[in-house]
Amino acid sequence: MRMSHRLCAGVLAVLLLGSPSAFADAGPGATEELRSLRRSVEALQKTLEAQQWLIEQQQAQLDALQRQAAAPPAPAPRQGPTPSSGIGQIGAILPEIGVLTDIVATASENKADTEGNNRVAVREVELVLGNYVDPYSRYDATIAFSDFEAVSLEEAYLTRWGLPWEWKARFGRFAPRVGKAPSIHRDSLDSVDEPLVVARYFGVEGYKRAGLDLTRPFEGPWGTVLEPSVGILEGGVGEDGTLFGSTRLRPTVYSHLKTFKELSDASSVELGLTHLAGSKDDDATWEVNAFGVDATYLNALTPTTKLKLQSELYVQNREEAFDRHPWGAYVLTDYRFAPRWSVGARADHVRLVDTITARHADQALSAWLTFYQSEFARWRLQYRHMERASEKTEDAVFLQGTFALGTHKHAIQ
Amino acid sequence: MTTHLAQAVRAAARLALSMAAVLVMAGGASAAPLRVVATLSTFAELVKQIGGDAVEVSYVAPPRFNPHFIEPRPSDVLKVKKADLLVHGGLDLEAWRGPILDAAGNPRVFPGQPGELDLSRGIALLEIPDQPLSRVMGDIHLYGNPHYWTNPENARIMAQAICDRLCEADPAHEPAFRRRLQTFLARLDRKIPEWRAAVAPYRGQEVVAYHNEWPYFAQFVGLKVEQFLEPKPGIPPTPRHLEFLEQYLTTRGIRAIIQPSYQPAASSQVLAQRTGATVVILAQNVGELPGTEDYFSWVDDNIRRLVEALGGPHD
Repeated sequence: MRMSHRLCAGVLAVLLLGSPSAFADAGPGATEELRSLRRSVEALQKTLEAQQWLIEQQQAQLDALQRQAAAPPAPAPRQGPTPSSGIGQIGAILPEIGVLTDIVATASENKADTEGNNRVAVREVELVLGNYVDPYSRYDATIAFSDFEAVSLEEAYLTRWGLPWEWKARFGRFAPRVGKAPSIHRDSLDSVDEPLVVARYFGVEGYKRAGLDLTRPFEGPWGTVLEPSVGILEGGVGEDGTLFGSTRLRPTVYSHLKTFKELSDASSVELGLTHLAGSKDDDATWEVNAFGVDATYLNALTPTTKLKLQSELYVQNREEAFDRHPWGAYVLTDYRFAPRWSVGARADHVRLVDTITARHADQALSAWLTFYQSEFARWRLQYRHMERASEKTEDAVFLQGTFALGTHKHAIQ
Repeated sequence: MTTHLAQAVRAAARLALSMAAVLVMAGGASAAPLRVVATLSTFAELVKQIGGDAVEVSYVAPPRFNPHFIEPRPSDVLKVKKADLLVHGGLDLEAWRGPILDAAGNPRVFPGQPGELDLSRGIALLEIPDQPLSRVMGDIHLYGNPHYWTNPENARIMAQAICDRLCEADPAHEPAFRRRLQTFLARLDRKIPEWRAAVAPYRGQEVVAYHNEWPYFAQFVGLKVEQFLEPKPGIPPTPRHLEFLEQYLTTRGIRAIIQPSYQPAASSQVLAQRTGATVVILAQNVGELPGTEDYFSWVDDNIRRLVEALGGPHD
């Protein structure tokens, strides 16, 4: 059949194309007719080729089916070392390893020779390890190195699933689910530095403590997701934090309720309530209370642009001579306006714990531009104008580079 | 009297038995549908095709977003936490799958459990690396190109795998699942030659793509895709690379640049303007574009768009 198609087309082509002189002699009308016929033949040839290809495809399918019916089962299709087969299995046993580097260059009016000030500093190199321990639990650890501090254990905890009523537990040293900014890793922050309320109350590197906590998401009313968390932690806060004292013996208890609502497939709103009770010294237990409210609105306006609005407020209740209810808050926005670029700004205000100064509060305005070089490398330029409680003003410019190697998973915020 | 008593007891026993049977059957019929969560909308659609009303299916990655870079939300975590079955693409496309599993902490759907279904099993993968890999090569896939669901031939394998797993999870509905699978496969058998015939006139032609996410679709329609707007996977187009592509498209007479709706269109548009090629938006997943709400309309729409861009349908 294929041969006969080809023969017909060939004969037609020879007849039409092989005797142009006869048409040329017949005048311009005949020439036009010749062109038209040529086009027809070409179209016919294309159609024939297409039909032929289709027949070949169908024949191949038919042959394959016939072979399948006659022959023993074919070998499995070619597969590489997929995560669930062959060499990929090794990854299931070895720890997932990631290295995350955070390099910051700072230029500020502050001339003090302090950590990373007015120089380029490797603020942090995080070695992140983790994998499943057994069918019930997973272990994760983060070890931090920097060029001005000793090696520190940021996190090392076991996550245990399958507890009664589907609760999930963490045991070890981890970031408690307090608000938004205190509980996330530095590399996941929208800015170079932590919001002032986080730095002043919880510590300049966020809040990580050893302890035990429990959490469980469940369906709330009106299509919401509710996620309560409760935990008991060792006392104290992070480096330079003032919410609690330095004693680790007096435990801290915390609770957090996250309320999440999807507004559409691209937008959502989240509200959180936090309570912490801890100690400022060895003398008493839980005499300092902090209450927090956080709100986050996210909208992926298009597949490559995204708007984030976030705010957190913390109010303390403590026995102090000067200020019994210090509070702090920030408002932040970050807008990813192009696949590789985003801009953001933040306003901070935080009343310092029991400090008698003219202003009594640190406040700052920051703005930044982020360039996402690739999924694993990011650059950020940030300007910050700060007015300290001491009435000193300080302008600073930061250039941050964040680079990731190996496995780097972002926990769901 | 004794006989009457024995008859009464037997009648009561029969009644009790039949009532129990009715209750069991009613219980089976009114049992809650199997809760299935799929990572991608295409997988969810296949589950729906096979499972019908006996499953309650949802997906994590909204189809109008790039499935590589999804940020799962607390509502997704809750879905996975409650799921009886998690259907995913395996390989390393869904880098967010691990964190969502960890956050959900649902041991039923952990890797290797009966509630986990990796659809890449049994698929003849393309572009399996045959050399040492490095991130110098861009955002590379370690196990081969993961976009295998775009070839309708692979839908047979995926649908069969879904059916088998649904039957294991819910044996009461096995006949219905098998029936629906046969219906789906029969329709697929009718549609595949139709789709192939529509693109047959363009067999062997070359198109350029934004990202290397169409090799399986290209294999199905008989097109060549050898160059991409991304100079390396995951690396956005550079001016120098666009200049190279301008030459490439012009010298080879390439008429179409294909990309899904979620990739940035600006570079493709610039290239199209310079070369006279057409930018064709194809849906990478079911539901990504209007009129692609089910499996068949999705492939129909992609074929139609492609044919229009390559020169219109041939009668």
